[in-house]
Amino acid sequence: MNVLELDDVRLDLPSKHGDRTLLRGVSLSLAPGEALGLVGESGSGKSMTLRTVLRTEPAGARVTGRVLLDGRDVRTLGAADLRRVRADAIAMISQNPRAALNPVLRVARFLVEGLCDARGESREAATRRARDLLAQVGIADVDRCMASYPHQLSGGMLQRVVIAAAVASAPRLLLADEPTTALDVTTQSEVMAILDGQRREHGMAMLFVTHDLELASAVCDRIAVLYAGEIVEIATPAQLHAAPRHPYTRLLLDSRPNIAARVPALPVIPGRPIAAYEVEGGCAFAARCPWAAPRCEREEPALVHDAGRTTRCLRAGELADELAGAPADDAAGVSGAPAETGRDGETEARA
Amino acid sequence: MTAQALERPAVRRRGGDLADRLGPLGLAAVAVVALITLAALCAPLITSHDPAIGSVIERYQGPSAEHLLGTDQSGRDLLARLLYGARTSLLGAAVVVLLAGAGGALLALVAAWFGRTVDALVGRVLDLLFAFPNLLLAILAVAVFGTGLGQVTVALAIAYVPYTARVLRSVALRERRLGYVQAAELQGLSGLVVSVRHILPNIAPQILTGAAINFGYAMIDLAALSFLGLGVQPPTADWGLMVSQGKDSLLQGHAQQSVFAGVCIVVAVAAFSVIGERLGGRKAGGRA
Repeated sequence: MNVLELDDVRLDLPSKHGDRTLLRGVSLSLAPGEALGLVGESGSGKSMTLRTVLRTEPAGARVTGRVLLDGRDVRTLGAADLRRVRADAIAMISQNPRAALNPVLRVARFLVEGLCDARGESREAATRRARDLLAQVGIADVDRCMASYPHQLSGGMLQRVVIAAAVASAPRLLLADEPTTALDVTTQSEVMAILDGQRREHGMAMLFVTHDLELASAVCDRIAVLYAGEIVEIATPAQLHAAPRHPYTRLLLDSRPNIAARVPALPVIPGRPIAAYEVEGGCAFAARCPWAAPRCEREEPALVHDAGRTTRCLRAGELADELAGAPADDAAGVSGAPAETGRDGETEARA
Repeated sequence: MTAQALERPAVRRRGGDLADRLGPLGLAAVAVVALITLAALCAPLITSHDPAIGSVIERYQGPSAEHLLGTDQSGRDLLARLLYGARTSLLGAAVVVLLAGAGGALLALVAAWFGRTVDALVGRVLDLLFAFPNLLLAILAVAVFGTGLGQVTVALAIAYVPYTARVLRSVALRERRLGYVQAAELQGLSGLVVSVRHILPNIAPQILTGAAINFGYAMIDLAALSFLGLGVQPPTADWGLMVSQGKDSLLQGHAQQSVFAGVCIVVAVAAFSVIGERLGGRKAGGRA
């Protein structure tokens, strides 16, 4: 059975100007021990997808569809069951470790009390386990770390502490929301390696939200690309890089900076990323898609599973060869069109 | 996004250098409070007189070697009465502050944790309590339960709850929305555990600050109630009661009892207020 299964999850947030749709039917599944990357621009619904799993969506949000954790629908759990699921089955690692730790508690108290409170372990056992865990996440001076307050530790150290706390309960599912975004690049790779190692060691499935396509490719078994609150493509990193099936994925890949080649201006995806509630019939990406055909504006593409690939594009079949392989500057003329750099520069910097 | 996350001043200045925060005036206030407390505790060591027994023959005496501050209308030693009076005055105010702080923190945590309806309900109940002047509430309690220090202390504590609860609620609400509280919730901890283990330590400075400021007000209110004859009953020594009992002597030209007791009240209240304001002064909205 899959650890996690999202089945047509929609999220609407009522506001003064009517309902705002944030997720337009997200479906995905995670096998035990599998790592799935969720990639997309800001506002595409990556974090919101995680929040529906944890039941921490914004107040007043209406969520439909099913979120199955080991076959049980998380959305219908009672308060006590939800607490148990959060304590035992799911762990969350957030973007900013500094915000995730209580500023007035020493690391030792944070870890030990977490273990005692959530899992009913004895103090001695919990202390021993906390020390083990800190050693496992690569903290050299366990004593000093245990005795420190959060403000005395660096961001990298803190994220290790958070990872230690997350794997402490040996959860089935690890939710990581850009766990390395707040860290500097060298620390980033260290922390990511530790997270990945711990995940494999404990056989946890991971849902990994990130802007960083490279990072997702490095640690994930499959990558799901989100656009405007829906999944447009799911593929293995190899497939994704060699032959993306969705134009948006192609353009995302092209807009990454490349160390090897110096370019006068980075290619950007023309237009601005639209929010889920702005989609009105047709393909959500049609307005920015260089390959858009007239029918893309009218027909809403469905998520098609075909030969191990999952894509949401009406022209996926026709475009397969064109999208594969070649970098876009000779494929579709999306190289840094000077007129469109301006504000859109954000798009590729964040994606 | 990254830059924001890094630059956010996540580490709040806590505790810091206490002496630095208090300043010279604050330190002097702390010294005064310590002196009063010490005097109250060591009353039997400082004077050999019984505060409740006097000789009528020795009434209205001026300061002398035997009675350092003179005697009152019943010939009781004023110094002894001031020293023992400090006990009742401090203890009463301490109990008020303690109960009000605990009640306020409890309401604040409940309101912050559940939010929405519960928060609104707590808010309205507090508004209701606010509508009654403190002394009126205490007088009501006396009317129902009879006179005595215990009754007015509890009544006053209830009257003080809205002041502490309102400030603490806003602080607790702010903490409630912070990442660490949500992270703790996502670890599957119950609301009770998160509130007590995580939120309470983070609002402790505001609880203490509020307590220090309220201490002074509680002393004044208790003294006023004693003055009105509703609180501490004679022959127990109490500063408020002493001011009251001294007012008859005042007309006969013996001002010392009311004046000494009054000075004691003013000095103690001022000291507590200074400490409270120094502690809370550099916190936004930290006034109780």
